[in-house]
Amino acid sequence: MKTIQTIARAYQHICTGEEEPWVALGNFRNAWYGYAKDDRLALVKDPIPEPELHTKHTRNWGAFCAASVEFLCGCYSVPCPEWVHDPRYILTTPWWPEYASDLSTRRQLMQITPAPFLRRHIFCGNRLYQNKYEMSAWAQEARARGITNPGEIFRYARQKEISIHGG
Amino acid sequence: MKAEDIENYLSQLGQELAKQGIQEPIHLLLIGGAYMLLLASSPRNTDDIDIFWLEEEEGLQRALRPLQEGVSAVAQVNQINPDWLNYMTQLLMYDLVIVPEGNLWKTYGPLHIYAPPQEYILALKMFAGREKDIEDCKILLQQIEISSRQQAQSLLERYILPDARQNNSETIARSLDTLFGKQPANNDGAAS
Repeated sequence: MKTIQTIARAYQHICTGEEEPWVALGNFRNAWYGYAKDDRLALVKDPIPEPELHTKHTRNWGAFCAASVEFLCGCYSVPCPEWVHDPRYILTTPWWPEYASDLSTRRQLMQITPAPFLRRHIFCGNRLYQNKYEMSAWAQEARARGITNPGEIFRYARQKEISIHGG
Repeated sequence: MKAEDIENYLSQLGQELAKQGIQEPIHLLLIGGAYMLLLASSPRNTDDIDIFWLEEEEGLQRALRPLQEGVSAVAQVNQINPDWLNYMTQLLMYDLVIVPEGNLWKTYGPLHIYAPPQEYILALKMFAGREKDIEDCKILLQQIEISSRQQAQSLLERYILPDARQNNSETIARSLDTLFGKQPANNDGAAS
C-alpha cells in the first residue's frame, strides 16, 4: 500500500533530512495533483509537526509548507486548515531566492508572488505549483473543443493555468 | 495621507497597542514618503507610512501579531488601506542596506518612532532610483550638505552594502547621473 505524502509528512522528511525539500514537496505535489486528488483535505488537514531542533532551515520550510497549503486550498476550493495561520509561520527575515540580489528582480518577485507566500515573507514567484498534469488535461480539453493549431492549444491551456495560478 | 494624518494614525496605533496590553516598546524607523512629508517638508502626499523594524528577531516575533492587529483596527476605523503601515521596503532591501538606529522622534504609547538622518534617506532613494525617489533626492539635496557626486558616493558606501552596490550598479549610476551629471569614467556603485 502506498504511503500518502501529506504536507505533515513532507515537512517531517524535510526536518529530518530524509528527503531534500524540493523532493519532499514534489512528492506532496504529486499526491495533490495525482493519486490523492480526490481527498485533498486529508493531505493538508493535520498540522506540520514540531521539528526537534528549530533552525533557519526548519523555520523557512515550515512557513513554506503553511503558505503552500493556503495557496493550494485557495486555488482548488479546499477548506483551509486553521493551523496554517499560526504567526510562527510568518518569517521575521524575508526569504529571497539566491538570484534575487538586485532591487528590480526583487520588486518583480514581490509583484508576482501569490499572497499566501507574500504574507509569510517568502518571495518565490508564481510558478512553483504549476502543474504538468493539468497542462496536459487542458491541452486535451482544447482538442476536444476542436482546436487543432498547437499555438492555439498552448494559449488555451495557458489561459486556464493563469485563471488558477495567476500569471 | 497628509502629515497630520500620519501622526493621527500612528497615535491611534499606539493607543490600540496599549489597549492590547503591550508594554514593551516597539521600535520603528520612519522612512519613505512619510519621512519626506514630516521631516523633509516634502510637498507631496503619501499612500502609506513606510517603516523599518528596529527589533531583533525575538522582539519582532513578539511584536508582529499585535502590530498587525493594531494596524488593521486603525484601518477599519478610518476606512483606509489595511497596508497603511508598510514594511515591504525593509523586506525588499533586506541584506542590501544598513539599518541605522536613528534618533527617537516621537512616542505614542508603546510605539516608539525613530528618524534616521536625512543622509540615510538620500542614500536609500539614490539606491532605489525610481522617478519619485529621484524627485525626493532633489528635495533632500537642498537641505543637506551633499553637493558632489563623490560625496553622494561616500554616502552610498556608508549605508548600502558592497554586494548590493555591485549588483545594482546601473541603477545607482543612473541616479547619480541624474542628480549630479554624467561622469565619463564610470565606476559608480562598484563595491570598493
